[in-house]
Formats: sequence, C-alpha cells, structure tokens
Amino acid sequence: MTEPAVVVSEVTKRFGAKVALDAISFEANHGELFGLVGPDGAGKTTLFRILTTLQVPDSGRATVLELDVVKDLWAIRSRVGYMPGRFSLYGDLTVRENLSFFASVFGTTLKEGYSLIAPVYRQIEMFADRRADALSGGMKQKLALSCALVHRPDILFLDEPTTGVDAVSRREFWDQLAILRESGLTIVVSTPYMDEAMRCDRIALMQDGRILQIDSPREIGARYPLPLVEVFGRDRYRLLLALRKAPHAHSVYPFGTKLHFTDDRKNYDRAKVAAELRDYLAREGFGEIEINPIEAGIEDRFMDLMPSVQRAS
Amino acid sequence: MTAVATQSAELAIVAHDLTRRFGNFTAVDHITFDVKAGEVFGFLGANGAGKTTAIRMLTGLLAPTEGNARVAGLDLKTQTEQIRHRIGYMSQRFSLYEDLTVLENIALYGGIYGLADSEIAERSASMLSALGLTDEMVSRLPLGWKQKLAFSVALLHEPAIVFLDEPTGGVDPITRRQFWEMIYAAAARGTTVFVTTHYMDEAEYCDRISIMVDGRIATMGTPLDLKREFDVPSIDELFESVAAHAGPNASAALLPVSAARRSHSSGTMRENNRLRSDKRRSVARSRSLRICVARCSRMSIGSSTLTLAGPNCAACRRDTRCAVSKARRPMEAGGSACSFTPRAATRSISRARCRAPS
Repeated sequence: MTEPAVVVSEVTKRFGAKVALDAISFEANHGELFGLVGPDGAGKTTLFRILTTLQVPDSGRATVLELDVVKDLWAIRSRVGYMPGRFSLYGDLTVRENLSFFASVFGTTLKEGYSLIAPVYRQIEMFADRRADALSGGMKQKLALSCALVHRPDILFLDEPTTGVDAVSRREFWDQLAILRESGLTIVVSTPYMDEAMRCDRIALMQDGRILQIDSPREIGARYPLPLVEVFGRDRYRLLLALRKAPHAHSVYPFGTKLHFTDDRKNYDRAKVAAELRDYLAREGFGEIEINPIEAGIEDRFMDLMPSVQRAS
Repeated sequence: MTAVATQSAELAIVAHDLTRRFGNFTAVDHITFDVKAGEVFGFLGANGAGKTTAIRMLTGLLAPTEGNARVAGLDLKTQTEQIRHRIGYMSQRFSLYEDLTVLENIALYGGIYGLADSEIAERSASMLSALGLTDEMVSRLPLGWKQKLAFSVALLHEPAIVFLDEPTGGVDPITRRQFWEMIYAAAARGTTVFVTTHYMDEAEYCDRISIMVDGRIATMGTPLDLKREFDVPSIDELFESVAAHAGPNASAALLPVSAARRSHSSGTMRENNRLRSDKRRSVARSRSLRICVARCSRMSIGSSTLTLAGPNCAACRRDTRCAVSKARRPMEAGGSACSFTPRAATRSISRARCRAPS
C-alpha cells in the first residue's frame, strides 16, 4: 500500500463553543505502534471517534487504510478494531458470550479469530463462563482487547486502555501490545501515562485539541531546548521552593524522589548549571545534595510544551 | 480492641485486624496498621486488592465484618457519626456537582458539614483566590481544576484526616504536581493525608506507603526503607515485585460484584454514579429510590449525611418512610439543614424518595 495506515489532515471538531480538535494533522504508518499522549480533555477520544467513523469532523479530512472516514464508513467499520475508553462489554454476559457476540456482529466466529486473540485471551480463558462484570479491572481490559481483535482487524484503536489500571496490569497490557505489533498489526493507542508512551514507535503529544509534537519517544526527549539537571536531597519540599528562587530557574518539578531543574540559558553547559546550583544550595544551607545533568524524558518535554497559561499558576 | 484503645492521640488512624467479607469473599483480610497525625500516607495496591473497601470502612461508609479502627481518635464502630465530621473525602471522579457553580458547591458542602453562613462566605472567598478561580459552572472547569477544587472542598471543614482516592488520574503532569504541592501544604498545616494512586512517582512523595495484595497489607514503610529492603531502585519496581506476586489468577483479581451488591448497596451506587446527570434524572423518574442513594452517595462522606439525615432533614422531611432517624448535628442546629443547599440540589434530592441503603 502506498498511503500510511492513518492520514489525518487539518481535522477540526467543535462541540458548541468548545473546540475539541483544532486542525489536527498526523500520519500513522503500517505496522506502527502509534501513541496519542495527553491528559483528559486533550481531544484523544474525539479523534478516535472520528477515525472509527462514529463522529464526523466539522472540517478537514481523514483516511484509515486509504478509506475516507466519512464516505467509506461501512468499509472502515469492518476493518478496524476499537476499544473505547469506557467499559464497552456486556456485564451480564459471560466472557465467552461476549467474545462470541462481537465475533458474530462481524460475521465471524470465536474459533476463526482464536489464533489472533490467543496471547491475550489465554490469560482469561479459565474464566470463560464468568460474567464480565465479575472480572477485575485488568481482566476486563484483556477481555475488551480480545473482543476488539476477534474479527481480525487490520488496525486497532485503543482509547486509554490502561486508565485506572494498576502499574503491574498496565505493564502486562503493554507487553501484549508489543506482541500484537510484532504480528504486523497497526495500533493507535492513547494514554495519559507518559511513562507508557516510551513503548510506542512514535508518539503525538496532545493538549487542548492540538498536537504539540510528534516524534519517537527518544527524539522527543532529545529536543528539550534547555539545560536540565536532576537534584536529589533531603527535605524535598523546602528544596523545591529554594530551587524555584535560584538564579536562572526556568522550571522546577518533582519527579519521584528527585527534582528536575531546568535552567533558562539555552545551550549553557549542563555541568556548569550543576556546579552553580551546588554553590547556590550550599549558600542556602542545604547539605548532602546530589546534582546530575540528565536527558529530558517525555514528561519533561510535555510540561515544557504545555501552554504557558497553565504553567503560570 | 485493647490494643486499639491504648494508642496515643498522635496517631490519626489505628486499624486493628480490620476485615470485610462479601459473602464468602474476603475483600479486606485482617489489616493492622497506623498512620501518624500530619503524615502523607500512600495506600497502594493492584486493582481489586481491597483498597477501596478499606477506605470505605475507614470513612464509616461500610461496617467492618471483623476488627476495628480508631480514626481521628474516635472509635469506628461506636462513633461513626463523629468520625464523619472529622474527615474529608475526595474520590477520583465526581466529587462535585457538575451542574452547580463553584460557590454553590462550596456552600452545599459547607452546609452539610454544619459551617455557619459567615464561615462559608469567608472560606469561599479565600478558596477562590487561592485557586485563582472565578465562580462558574463546575462542568466547565478542566479536570485538573475540578480536582484541585474538590480537594479544597474536602478540606473546607478543616478535617483531621483527608482521604484521597486516586485524585490525579488522567490529570496533566503539571496540574498533577500542583496537586501534590497542595497535599504537602495541607500536611504542613497538620492535616493527615491518606492517598491512593496508580502513579508510582507519586508514591515517592509520600512519607510512608503500604502495598495491599489480596486484601492484606503486604509491606509498609518509608519509600526509601522499602527500596532498600527489596533492593530495588524505584517504587515502580517495588510495586512490581510485591504486587505481582498476586498473579493474574489470584482470587483477589476476581471481584464477586454480584455478591457485593447483595450484601451492600454500594454496587448499585457505584453503577449509578457513572450515569451522567441527565441520565440520572431519567432514572429518577422510574426508580426514585435508587436515584436518591446515587445522588447522595456521589457526595460520598457528605452525601451519606444527607441520605441518613432522617426526619429532621429538609430534604427528607416529607418522606415518612425514611428508614434512618439518626439526626445529624447540622440538621438539628440549623433546623433545616438543606436550606443551605443550592436549589437544584435540594430539588432533586427532595423529589426522590429517600431511604437508607439497605
């Protein structure tokens, strides 16, 4: 095929006065694991609904597998798998009944789809006769993923599959996506968890209906425009407040046990930033401080790209 | 019981063998722990490990099957009502009324907690300026702002302990951090913070954490001590090694919802909580009883206040079938407690038949 699996061009969608998507453009390639990363309200769900032909854009154009999302909706529907953010299964049907139902809607059977869903489904197969609403959160996700896959789609859309799911189940879920990707399936997935985005081939950072940046996870970090160091020490909160008052402080954010300090001088040597900061903190009475120059991660970059209005407070 | 009673007042929470069963499923299995006053305590665990059930017990929403706890120095079994006045609660979503404005929400909660009008006015003003908010419909606020407002509202009556159940889920990374600064500030003022999260970097911000597995507390300590003990570089990996032991086949992974629903009405509440307000209204027409429970429970701690308000409550007065007659302090003091409440809320609550959760 010549065209990428997903082509979105200047797509805009409004709901009343609210602009959910503001002239968004991007492409996802065949066989790619493409991530849409951003907080609630970024427009991720609206974008998925347009790409799965459940909503029509106000303007702009989008194709999925070279099919137009408005004109060719029926052709698209049989070829995509979609896992919506909200629990989409029938709670009063068993695991097996849910799968058979979704298979029959697409004119196939559980048996025919089995080999594709097997890596995911095997983990819940022992509960095949259990009602879906009696499954734990992580298992519901696995069943929902199985249901989205049972008709052997050519492309998979997953809207926040791991929201509200604990860290262990989340990792397992991404392991499964990696397996599916190996099989050649194109996957577009959204998440508010920045750490998960590292496992995508490319990601689009989204905020308030716009795409802030698209790149591989590593490139996104590398494009951080200012010198960044991590600071580690006791009394983190006092340290945070002191660092914000440091000369040339651009931003200071807590990251687990550490604080990330961004200097406002472009191209300034990170080692020099660390040295100056060490002196400053010593003057301020902080002992036992560890400071290391670091590469920016996705969350650093995301916060840096966020509109300044929201950064202000 | 004696072990619980002899604890000093510096402990905000002392839980002793706290247990809850639903049918033959043990959701919380003899958990014993304490939380110091002014501490930020991270209550971690995989989905289905029993965190929510434990929180519901500690906040007096669910009676323990076995064991007991002291919360804010009060006995969980005999002083449930007093406890509700000493704690604040904020859930992951829908802590506030979307169809009311910021000030109306503050007034509603202030009224429920029995604050005087003058106090409400004063605290409303300082809250708006601290958050940098104007008085608009809550439904129009971005999620991050809603969560910050909900937290402030949970602190409105200056509780000794505030329970935060996944307060930052889906919130952008900057607001998430601002939220944690609010937590630090509250803790610095002496409020004990009991918080759950799925963000492992946030677990690092806690003074101490516990990890629940299959209804039990598998491990507990400061993030630093635990990382040393398990020889892992991060809480993320600690969680992986501790919580993963449960495995996908463990019994806790399967929550017998139907059993839970039979023995406690929370299943229905939770279900209804997810409905949007317009939907909720239509449900109300057909099942007036459920809606009342749902609406009230949406406000969690404050809400059960309304549900359980009894004949003295303006909202329930007309319903002679109101099952619980225990009148609450604000109701008695104010005569008609719900006169504080914004009209919309009062209307919808009084329209519905009121009955205590069975």
